[in-house]
Amino acid sequence: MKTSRAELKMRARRSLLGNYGTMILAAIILAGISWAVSTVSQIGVMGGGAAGQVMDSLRSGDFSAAGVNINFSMNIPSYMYVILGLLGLISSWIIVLFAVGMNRMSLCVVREGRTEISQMFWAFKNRPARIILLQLLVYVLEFVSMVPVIVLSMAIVVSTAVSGADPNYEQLLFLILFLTGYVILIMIVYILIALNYGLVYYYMADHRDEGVFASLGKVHEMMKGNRMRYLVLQLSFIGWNLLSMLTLGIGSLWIMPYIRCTFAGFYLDLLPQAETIPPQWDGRTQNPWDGSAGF
Amino acid sequence: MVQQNRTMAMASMILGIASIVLSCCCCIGIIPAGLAIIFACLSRVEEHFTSQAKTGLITGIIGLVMAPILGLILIAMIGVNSGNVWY
Repeated sequence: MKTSRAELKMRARRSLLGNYGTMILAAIILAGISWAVSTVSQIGVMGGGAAGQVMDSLRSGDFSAAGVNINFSMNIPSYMYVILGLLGLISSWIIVLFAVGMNRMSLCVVREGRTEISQMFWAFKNRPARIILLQLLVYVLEFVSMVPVIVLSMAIVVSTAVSGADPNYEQLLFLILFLTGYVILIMIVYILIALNYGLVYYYMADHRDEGVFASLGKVHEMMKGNRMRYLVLQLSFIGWNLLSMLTLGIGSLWIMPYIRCTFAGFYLDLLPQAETIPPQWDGRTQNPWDGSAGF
Repeated sequence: MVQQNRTMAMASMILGIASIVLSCCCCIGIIPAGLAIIFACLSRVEEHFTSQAKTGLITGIIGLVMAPILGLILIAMIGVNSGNVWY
């Protein structure tokens, strides 16, 4: 069943009527948690750096730096950067778990016409390790894609350090051309990956028992023949995002649930018909997804 | 459900009108204009817009166009007037 783009959007708008409050509250909670996690980790690192400096001063007996002239930004010990990296990793895992919870909420909205804020925490209670593993895979992919750039930059730095001369014009031009070409290549690869596996977080939010690689395989199968539809659907939201920017992000409180629900609808459209209506659906109220009368 | 749809269309209309009024205040009108367009579009759950949503959409677009134009005119007038001080 291939539903048109306009119909998918219409169904998302219908489903969201009466659910905007919950979805907006979830978005505000997610934004608040993201802000709190990043702020706490930064304060922790700054505080740790300052504490380390005070301890160093106490050991050396020079109290002037400890008491008066603590430089919070410049004297952070190197191990604190490792801690900062780990905190960043953990915070990104927390945020992705919440994002999967929001996908779950969107799926509930388009399937059942209602959702609850507790669904936001669904991913924390239902095998969070597989979502964390998927996020780890994304990081590994990003790191691997950066390896050629790191190697080339280090090669130029080492060669200039050995020769003792500044990098010449040809070297810089080669580096710029290489980086430009490489960034374009990586962008194409990322777009292809997104077109093949973009719905994996919806799939994982819908299938508790599927592992990471099984989910990736299933989503890859689902996307066959639908990649162009997915791309066009993604591009069709450019105007909405521009409107969101015009309103300084206020509009995104309504637009983001709309976009999520449209993609949830697109995901449900790709599922086999037997999986579209959940078994717990009681049939007492109108299911917005079946497209029949009632709205 | 219909009530919620109407509320959104009504909000769109109010924000659209507010955007035209606020477009004189140095581009502030862009924010309600954008919100008016968003609410008008999101309130469309049938084939056609309701009359309130249509009003909100039109006034929102007018506010969106007017706000930067009036902002530029305002800046130009301030520039001309401040130039007169020096001459």
